[in-house]
Amino acid sequence: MMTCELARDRLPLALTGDLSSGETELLNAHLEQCPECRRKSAALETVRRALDDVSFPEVVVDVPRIYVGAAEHHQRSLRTWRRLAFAGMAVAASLLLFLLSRLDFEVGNGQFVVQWGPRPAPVVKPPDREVTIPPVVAAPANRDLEERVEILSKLVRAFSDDIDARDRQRQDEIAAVVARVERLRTQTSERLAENRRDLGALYNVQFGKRD
Amino acid sequence: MGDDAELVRRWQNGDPAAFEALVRRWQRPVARFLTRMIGPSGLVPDLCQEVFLRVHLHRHRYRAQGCFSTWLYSIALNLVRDTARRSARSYVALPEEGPAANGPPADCAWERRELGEAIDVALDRLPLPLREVLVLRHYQSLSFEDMARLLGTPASTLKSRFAVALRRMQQLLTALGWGEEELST
Repeated sequence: MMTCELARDRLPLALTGDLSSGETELLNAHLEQCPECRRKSAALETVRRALDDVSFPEVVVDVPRIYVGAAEHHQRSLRTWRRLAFAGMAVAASLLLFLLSRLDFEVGNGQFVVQWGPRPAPVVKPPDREVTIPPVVAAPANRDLEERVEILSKLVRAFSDDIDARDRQRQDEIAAVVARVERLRTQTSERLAENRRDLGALYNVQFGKRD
Repeated sequence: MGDDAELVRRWQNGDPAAFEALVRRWQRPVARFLTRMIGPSGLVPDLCQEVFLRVHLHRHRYRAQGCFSTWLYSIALNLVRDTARRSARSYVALPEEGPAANGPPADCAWERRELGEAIDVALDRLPLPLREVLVLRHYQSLSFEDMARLLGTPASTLKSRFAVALRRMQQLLTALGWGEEELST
């Protein structure tokens, strides 16, 4: 036997036919006996029916606009990927430059030596007799590092100048192409005007004779 | 629908006519869904267009094993959630219980229009999770199992939510002047 609480809990699902057959039978048996639950069931059914009492706007989807939107979306994503690729390449180039600045290459005696960091000072075999060690004047490693930084700065400046020069060159090329297109446009306009004049003259000759 | 899968297969193989057929078949249900979810605003046609644009863009993600309508509604639902987030549409508390300020008018056509507006307001005041379940079950006739796949929530939870949503609608309509008696007439 179903209680009122359980029956009222099941009412919304009974309205949409989402109760199992066993539960529906139990609920119906309860509703036959309980006027209050019957009233609640009727009230919920009224609400459910009222939900259908609404109008909907007529919407027609513009399919060609979807294709245009999709094309624009692809272009945008392509641009994003291109930017990311350029950024990645710039980071990789910087990293490579940094690594190259830290590596030391040496060729000689039939050997190719790659070494990380500044070259260590050569080991000097101490003389047999006891000598006083002179004080260190300057660390050769620091000088070496400064030289490398100097070279690196020059390299970066050279790269920058090279990029500027290429940029200017491209701009000059674009300006030349624009000028050429402009010339061609002017020539085409002139030719068109000539053609029109010729056509007018021909028309006059042809139809002037007939008249 | 049985041949949705066939239309999608043809469309994925590059047949634009199949996509157009899918749009023509589903534009009305999607528009109904959006109208119930965001209210009858001027946004519905644009959102409907956006749903089918997303469907077109993500066509390769659709797997034939799944139901097309479930996939379509998942896209529409995400769009509704995005829109709700953007417009910061928040849950409006229930109005104070008490006698209604304006009861239903006598004229029948006018009455139906008023009732329609009251339902719009009540749906608008329903929290989004309850509104989703109510709209998908009642207006879009999705089964609780399909909804469970769509929303990633157990069907039993959705059934409870549906019951709560229907009762909350009843309370809201009563508060708006549409009690049992007014609805029955």
